[in-house]
Amino acid sequence: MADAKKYPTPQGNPETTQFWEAAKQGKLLFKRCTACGEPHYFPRSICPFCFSDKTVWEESSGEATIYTFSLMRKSAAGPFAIAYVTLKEGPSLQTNIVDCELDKLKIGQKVKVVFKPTDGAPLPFFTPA
Amino acid sequence: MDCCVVTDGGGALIVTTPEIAKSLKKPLVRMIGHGEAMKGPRGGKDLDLTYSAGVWSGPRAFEEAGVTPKDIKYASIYDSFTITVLMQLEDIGFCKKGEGGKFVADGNLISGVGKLPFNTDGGGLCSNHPVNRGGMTKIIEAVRQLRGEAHPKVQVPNCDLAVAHGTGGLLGVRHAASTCILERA
Repeated sequence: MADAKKYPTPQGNPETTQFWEAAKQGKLLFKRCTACGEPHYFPRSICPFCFSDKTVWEESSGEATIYTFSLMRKSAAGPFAIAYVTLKEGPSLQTNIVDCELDKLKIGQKVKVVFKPTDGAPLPFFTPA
Repeated sequence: MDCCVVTDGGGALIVTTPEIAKSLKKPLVRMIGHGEAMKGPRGGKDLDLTYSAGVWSGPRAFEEAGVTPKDIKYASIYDSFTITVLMQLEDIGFCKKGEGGKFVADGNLISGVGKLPFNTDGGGLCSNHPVNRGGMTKIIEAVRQLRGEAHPKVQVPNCDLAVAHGTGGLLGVRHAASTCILERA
């Protein structure tokens, strides 16, 4: 059922073009500020911590752990798990956990990025590692 | 799903000078303290969803008003979901962190029974959430209580001090909280 799901096409902008181009290569990017050293996600041109514009792209290992999740057992598109995961590189991000038995998910569980196709660039989700 | 109802509706408040307010032949209500705060996920750093920006907006409002949560006779608290209320009761100081469930289960929110009569219009969970805007009706019911114009079955006797508090986007990327303390003049 999960695989039959139709995901919305991401609407890119100049700030996120590189992110979506990398996604097409199966790579998850985040940004780091070279002024204060902090990594952040979602990626933006201006550092959310020190407001410097010296932010650069880095590739994530795609490895993460589940910070928390919630199961939506009924929805028009079928059951799904919304979650926050924390990347090995530091930042946490909101996502869905896919391709798994929803009832077996646990906080602290290791997950890895998986991209799901859309009519445009693919969307990053996570699945048990 | 324990989620607020979706309704049509609306509201309005008149904020005016003390002189004009006195000419309106209604019991007077004034705001004596307020606080606002934001808490986004900060680029994903040190994510902690166990507390809200109410931990800052609440104390600021109480400090400005010069009162404490124990002094409050009535509370309007935004109630998009049950958990929203539990977190806000804890975050703005009506009970200790982690004790919101017990505070509510003990009947404290029921007018005429508990320590903190709450959302006596039914709130978002039982009465209204006009077009996804739940804040206006919270302030309106607080003003009704302070004027003595709430429904007789839920009117708090001698209600002279109330709080109205709202949050939004707690799990998203643009969470904020706002608290105001209202007093019968």
